[in-house]
Amino acid sequence: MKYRNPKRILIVAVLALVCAGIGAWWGFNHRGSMVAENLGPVDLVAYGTRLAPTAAAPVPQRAPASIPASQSASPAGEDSAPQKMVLSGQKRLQNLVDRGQILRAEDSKPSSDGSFQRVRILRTSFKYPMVRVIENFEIDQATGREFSRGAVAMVADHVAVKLVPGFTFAQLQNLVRSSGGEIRAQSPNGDRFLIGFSGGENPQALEDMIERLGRSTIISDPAPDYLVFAN
Amino acid sequence: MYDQSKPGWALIAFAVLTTGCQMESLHALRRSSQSLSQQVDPQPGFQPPVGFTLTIQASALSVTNGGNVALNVTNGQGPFAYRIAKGQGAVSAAGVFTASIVPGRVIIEVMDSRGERGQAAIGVMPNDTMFGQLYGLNNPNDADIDALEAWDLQTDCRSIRVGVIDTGMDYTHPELMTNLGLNAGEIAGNGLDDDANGFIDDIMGWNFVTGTNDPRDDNLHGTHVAGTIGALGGNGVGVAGICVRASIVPLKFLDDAGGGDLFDAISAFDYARKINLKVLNNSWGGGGFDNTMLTAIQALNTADVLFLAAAGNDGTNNDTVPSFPANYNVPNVVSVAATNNVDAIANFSNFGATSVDIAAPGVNILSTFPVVATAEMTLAGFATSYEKISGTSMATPHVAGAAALVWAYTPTFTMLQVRDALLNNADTKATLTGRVVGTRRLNLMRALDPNYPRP
Repeated sequence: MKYRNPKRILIVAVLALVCAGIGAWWGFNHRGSMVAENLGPVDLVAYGTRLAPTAAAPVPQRAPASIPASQSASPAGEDSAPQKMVLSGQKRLQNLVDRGQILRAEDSKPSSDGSFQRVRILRTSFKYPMVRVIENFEIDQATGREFSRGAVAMVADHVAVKLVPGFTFAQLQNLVRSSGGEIRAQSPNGDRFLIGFSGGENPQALEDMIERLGRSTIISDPAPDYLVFAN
Repeated sequence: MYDQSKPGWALIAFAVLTTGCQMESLHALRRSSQSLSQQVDPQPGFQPPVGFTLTIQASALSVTNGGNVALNVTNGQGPFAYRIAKGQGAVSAAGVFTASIVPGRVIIEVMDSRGERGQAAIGVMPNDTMFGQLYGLNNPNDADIDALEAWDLQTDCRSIRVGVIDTGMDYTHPELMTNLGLNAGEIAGNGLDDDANGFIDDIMGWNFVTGTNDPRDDNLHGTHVAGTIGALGGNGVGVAGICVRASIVPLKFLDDAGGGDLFDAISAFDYARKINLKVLNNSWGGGGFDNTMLTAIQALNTADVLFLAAAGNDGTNNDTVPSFPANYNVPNVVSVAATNNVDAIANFSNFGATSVDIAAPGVNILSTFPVVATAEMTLAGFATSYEKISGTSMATPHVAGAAALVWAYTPTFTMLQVRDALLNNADTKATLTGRVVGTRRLNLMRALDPNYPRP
């Protein structure tokens, strides 16, 4: 049996523990920023488009690389102090996604340039837990890797509507019942409603409900209840 | 003619104080005259120009604090940054000058050692202990909004109620509690909707997340925003908001993680309109175009409510990728980008040569934080009570506070006149070329007084 110096073993063990600790600390502290790099600008896809970008709903473009947001405009002597707590809406959304449980995910068929859209239904800690996230991806032609062009989120299992003046709450109730939904909330003004429905984990369910409610004359502007974030 | 080769100049005669002036102005003047005799400290290289005019101004703020005195020297060509820092410099000779009082300011006639006459204006530095860190308000390199100069004209915004549509506000914070906009039409805790506005016991705003009357901040964001608009100034501690005295109404619709939904946001808009708020700060964004939200903002526009919106923190171009609500094309919507302490646009700030209306300081902004740590503060390792954070969220309340101050100063203005005062009198910065409409960076002083000379 070979003799091993116990002091050396102890030092190696301590070093390993320190390295592991630093690694864990680094990973924890950079978790958000690393994930956030995968997200781009907010996707402003007009709701109602299916899972492929259209002319009416262009895939958002980043600013041209030749004019980065700050570097070209910053004269010498720019404040070099680290910027604390710059949380964009995209990062906050990413945090919500990271902490959520994915119930369903569905990718659209890639277009000729490889771009596609991913719809995910998640259970989250948000006030209305079931959240639908639509994220646009493009393919880096050089590396073949997909990268995000931004995401937009909305509550997955309700639709926001306005009651057309002249119609009654009872009429709205009848409509909602016949559409298989329920009135989840009423605005303080009394003219807007959230219409909840079951089956929200189906990526297409929200659009189907909007289409169904959109045929009615007693409500207007059926739309997703988008999530927004402090920025 | 004044001899520019002579270092400094002497104030040689103190004559007549105009009668009928307010007592507080007298106090201020006495303070100023004492300070002048002890603390003249021209900036290095400053040479009073021929025919210079000095205007000595004093505001209520000067009476209540014990801070430094600021002196602005102006002539027909523009202002000269000329501050008298406490404990620095000295008057070169005994001084006598004449003072007269006009509404809002104390003007002192001065005469130098050669008999040249002019006028001087004295303002004050607030005595808030962290004021020196508020580079956005006052900054040696002038990458600031000239708040000190503006405060010589107006410090009190209480006549203009400002809504902070955000994560709430820590109304127990010593710097915010007295500037909370209370609803005088409601009797606290009686379980009745006394003012018949549809909200029971809405004494201090509303919480649209929980549907209750407690809008206390459980995040941090709204408290920071509120402090920039209206942290109590001149109280000898902490920071000062742009409105030294304010009336802030927190409308909480973002939760403890800083997230919310459009349904609650629109409810907050409707509430703001119902209780006659005049300025709304919206340091949030996301989602897509929404027709109901557009209609709600249009209703605010019709009600003469100014709507300040953060441009966004994605570093992207709002001209090509709109960010909502900042990009809604309604006259009352002002989209705000963030600049740093050298007037460069922040690297995270969204921009837009046609869609972002104005920039304001938004990098490492010191303001109020909740006094008890929230989960997000703990996670991020933030201190309680005061912190520096960055974002277009932090730039936007500079403009919201400025709007309230302008409106309080000129109560006859319409909402669009307030907006135009902010936009048309902004400083132009080459660093913002292609980033902000007209390369504008907020200048509070000129928003109050467009005739204030440019450097």
